[in-house]
Amino acid sequence: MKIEVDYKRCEGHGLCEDQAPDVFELDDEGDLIYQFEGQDVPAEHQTAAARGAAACPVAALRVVQ
Amino acid sequence: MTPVPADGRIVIVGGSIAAATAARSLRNRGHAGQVTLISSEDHPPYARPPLSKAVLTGTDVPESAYLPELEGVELLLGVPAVGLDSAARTVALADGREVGYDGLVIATGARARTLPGGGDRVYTLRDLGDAQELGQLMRQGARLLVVGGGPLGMEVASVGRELGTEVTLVSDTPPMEALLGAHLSGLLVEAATAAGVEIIRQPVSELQQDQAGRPVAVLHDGRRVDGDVAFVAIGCQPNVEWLAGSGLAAGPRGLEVDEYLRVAPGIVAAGDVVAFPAESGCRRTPYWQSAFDQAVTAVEVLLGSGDAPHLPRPYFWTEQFGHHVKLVGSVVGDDAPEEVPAAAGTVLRWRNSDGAPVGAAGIDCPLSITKLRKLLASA
Repeated sequence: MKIEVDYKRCEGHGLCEDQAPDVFELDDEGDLIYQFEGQDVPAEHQTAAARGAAACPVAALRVVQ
Repeated sequence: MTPVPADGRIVIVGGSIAAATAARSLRNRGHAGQVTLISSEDHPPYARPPLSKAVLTGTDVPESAYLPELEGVELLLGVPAVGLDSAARTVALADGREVGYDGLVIATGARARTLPGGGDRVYTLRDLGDAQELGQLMRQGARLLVVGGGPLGMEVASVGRELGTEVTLVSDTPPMEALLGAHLSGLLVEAATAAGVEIIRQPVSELQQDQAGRPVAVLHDGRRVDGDVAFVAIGCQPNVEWLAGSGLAAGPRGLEVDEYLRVAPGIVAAGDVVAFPAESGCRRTPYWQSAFDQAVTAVEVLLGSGDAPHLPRPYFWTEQFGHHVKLVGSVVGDDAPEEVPAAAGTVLRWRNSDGAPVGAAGIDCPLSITKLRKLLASA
């Protein structure tokens, strides 16, 4: 499982970080730091990552298989 | 409540974030039984926040609002649920079908409240079709008469000015004050006025239609304000009519639940339809975070996999007139927020009469919800 981040859409609300703090982080500038950029999400983080992606209110996170 | 068996069929009625989150949570929790989502809309579940923003401006196509695809979930789209038999455990659909369930999640949401009269150029905004239609009219330069000074009225007014259309907004209370307090209301009203919106502080007595077919708002003092189109944003009302005769506690104030989001044996609810217990009785909290959190808890309760009640964590945001405002918690009565030092933008914090922090807002400030919430935990 991979997650595609559309950084232009991200508004820095942080609902993803709220759901999956080990996967998504918003820095002090409100920029999203995605821990697994360009990689497969490790198995132990997949459920949380999918939940974080689903919580995004601006559809900036897409789960791709 | 007796948990739904591991292979039980779960039916979800609704088509936005609460319904989709419930479906996804069921799959994430490894529920083995069939999951069916029933929505009155033709689109798969989608997010509503973009409807008054990028979908309205036309920057984004409607499909961009679709929520991530739901795997292993049967979607029955374009077919409203019209009845519930909680004894027989069946949901009746408008096309005559009956769908049986072992567990039911009610997430039918809310619809826009309307005003009678005004003719056929009066619009509300709740679904993708509304956003496309209204957006197109505004892009064609239709003069816009907005009734209502809540987030939706102000966001649409903002988009209207962005698109270069004339906007008059009528509101009986100071715009945004109910949600954001007097201080932030003042800031946003100033920005709206600077952007060229004419704001009239009056109740609307009724909507009429002039001889050219244009909608006209008749104000409390008798004044008449017209537009090429009127946009009415005076709140939403819960979609509970299909539950009439079901014996559930559903009415104009919403569907009453307990703190575990339970409605009846085998039935839970989430999202804008829910009236959740609060100090002043059950009340609805029709916001994104609330719908999301409620759906997660409701599914845990339905499956018997969690024993924690739903804990409201209010979060609200709006974008209008060049400002981006985020609020965690709530503003309180006296509305004298303190300014918290911030690297960018403005951060405000409200305290209750005991001095405890109860609300924090970021204005044009990049702090995420998690960081804003920390301002409520400390100090």
